[in-house]
Amino acid sequence: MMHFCMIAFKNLLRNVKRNLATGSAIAFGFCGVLMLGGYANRVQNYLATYTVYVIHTGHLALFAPNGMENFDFKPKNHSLSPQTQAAIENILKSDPNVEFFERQLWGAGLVGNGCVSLPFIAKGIEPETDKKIYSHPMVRRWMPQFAPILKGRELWNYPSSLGGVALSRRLARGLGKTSVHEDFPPGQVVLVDCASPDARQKFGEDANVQFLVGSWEGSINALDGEVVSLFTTGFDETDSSAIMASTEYLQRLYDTNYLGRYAIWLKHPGRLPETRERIRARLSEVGEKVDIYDWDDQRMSPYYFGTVNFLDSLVGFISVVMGVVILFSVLNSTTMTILERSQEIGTYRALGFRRSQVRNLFVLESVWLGLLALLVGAILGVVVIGAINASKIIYYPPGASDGLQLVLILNPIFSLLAALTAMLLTIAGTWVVASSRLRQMPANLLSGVAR
Amino acid sequence: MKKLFCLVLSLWSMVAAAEGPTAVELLAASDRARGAAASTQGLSWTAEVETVENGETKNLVYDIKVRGNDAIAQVTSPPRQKGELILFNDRSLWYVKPGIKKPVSISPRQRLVGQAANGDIASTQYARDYEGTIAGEETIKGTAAWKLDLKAKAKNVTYDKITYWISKKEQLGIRAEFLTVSGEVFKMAEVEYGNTMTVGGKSFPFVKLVVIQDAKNAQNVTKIKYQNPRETNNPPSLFNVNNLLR
Repeated sequence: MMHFCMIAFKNLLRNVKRNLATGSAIAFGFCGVLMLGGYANRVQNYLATYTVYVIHTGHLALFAPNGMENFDFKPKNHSLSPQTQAAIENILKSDPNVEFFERQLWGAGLVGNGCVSLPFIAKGIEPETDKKIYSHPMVRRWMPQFAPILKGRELWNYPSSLGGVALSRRLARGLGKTSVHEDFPPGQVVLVDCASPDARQKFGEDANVQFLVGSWEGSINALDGEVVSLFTTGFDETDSSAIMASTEYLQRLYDTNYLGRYAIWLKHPGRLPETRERIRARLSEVGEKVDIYDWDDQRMSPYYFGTVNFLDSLVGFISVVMGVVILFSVLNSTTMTILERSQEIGTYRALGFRRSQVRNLFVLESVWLGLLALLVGAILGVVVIGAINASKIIYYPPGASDGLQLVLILNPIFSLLAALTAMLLTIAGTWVVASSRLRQMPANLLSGVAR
Repeated sequence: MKKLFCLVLSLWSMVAAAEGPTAVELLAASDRARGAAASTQGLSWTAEVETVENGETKNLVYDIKVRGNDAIAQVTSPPRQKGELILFNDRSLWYVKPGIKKPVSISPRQRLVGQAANGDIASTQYARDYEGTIAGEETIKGTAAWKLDLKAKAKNVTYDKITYWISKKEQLGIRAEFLTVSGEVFKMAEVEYGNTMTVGGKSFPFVKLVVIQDAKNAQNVTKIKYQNPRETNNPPSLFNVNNLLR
């Protein structure tokens, strides 16, 4: 076998130009697939981390029955009561796979600066959970430059009695709140005469805002808030209306002690299905009916779902194209080689070599060619990926308010599968062509009749 | 000569009567009975709002003071909302709650409670806020009425379009349908007049009850009961937003 391998390797050198062309097609194709896989790998993990951690979706989201569909319209009828909350928290605290969880509430209303009011959509989070997320290993790994706070400090730095809120940057600009709590003496409130010509300048002289909502009890309610930070959601669509506040603050604003949902983060996300079912079963045992959704459910994370599906389709399509290019290059090259070496094949057969032995010789030649080409493609891929990452190219995904650095991160499993597929295609192509030629009679091959 | 003058005068009166009132005149007359500028000093009344929504009943009582185009509505009941204010400065609305550091600018379209929008709670200023055209004549519950199509003059008014019926005899707004921009009715109101307002010694009918009903869910109803209407001296400073928090 070793001898055959050596002969096969030496045979590669008999038609260097053709083998170089075939090897280049395999190498460049593999390099392209590695880059594409690196892009998809980074985007998928970036979006997954963004979805699960940064926007506080959690690995699991636990709602009141039909809460996900109906909470926004009838929050009072589709939220989690204090009694249900106690049962849920009791179970979550004792579950072996729950890393941490968060009580969440959200709603809409108007936010004003004493003269101008703008619509907002508020998300209620627990500041201590936010702190955990900032330093979470997954966030550090996949979003090392994660820094949504543009000015001021995060909610967890302030006591809840302050009524601290974070405003998205365009909303803050609309309200004239370009400075934050730490820029002013404690308790500074400037009453502005809205009719005065310099009213606009005076809006920025304090960090005080007012929130006005329709309470869950059906009346208007308002609450003072103190802007402690300005942040970006990363998307134009939400950067002009988003607000982050503590869940406790939003409960006071909406005049309720109910919750919209629980977000649950897992220690081992791979064990999500059994954890979900365990939590559901334990809640059912204590008579609590809830709806539980996985983080990658289309209804929970439509942006993630849509983007990743699109990306998967793109990677799949381009990989198929690359595979076809490799297959046809190999078929073409092998056909030419075998035609040229018909008399050599006939000689092998006349000397008593079996068909399979001769075919294996050609297959081994292709294996050598494939291995060398994949090695070159892999080296080329790593170099190009390194160069792209080092050149810090910024691109603007649709709807994003800021550019994102183009970073490609090799996915070892995907790369290995791509290499195996390329190898299999190379072998299969050679096998098909060689088998077809070997059906000819040795005499015909020797005499050159078989063409 | 005298006979000729009388003949011309009576003919002119007949022509004028045949032409009928204009939409602007009808709206101005009907607004007066719903709290619009009828006194230079001011008007006051109490509005009791009872709303039934999805089987739940809520009650709110407002003390309303009006002067010209300005109005202020202060909650007197229930106790937990006592002291909340809605200030109407012309078409600008402000909300103030005891303890809050600044007033909040609000929209007249925003829902106040039940079917009532913020703009429904104080006086009605349809002549100021809407372009009216007389669309025809109809009989509403036995009362002959003009049917008017009202279209908002500005964006910051309570409704985009209203179909409004004003009684021919007393020129009182008796029914309204509130429409979306696309012309779909989303709520309806019936207005009753059993109160009397006396201004400068002259009395005129004043609104007693407004029943606002959701067009899609007839069970959701808000009733605004008007009580104790009277002329009062409401100084302009009362309606200054900058004074609300001082």
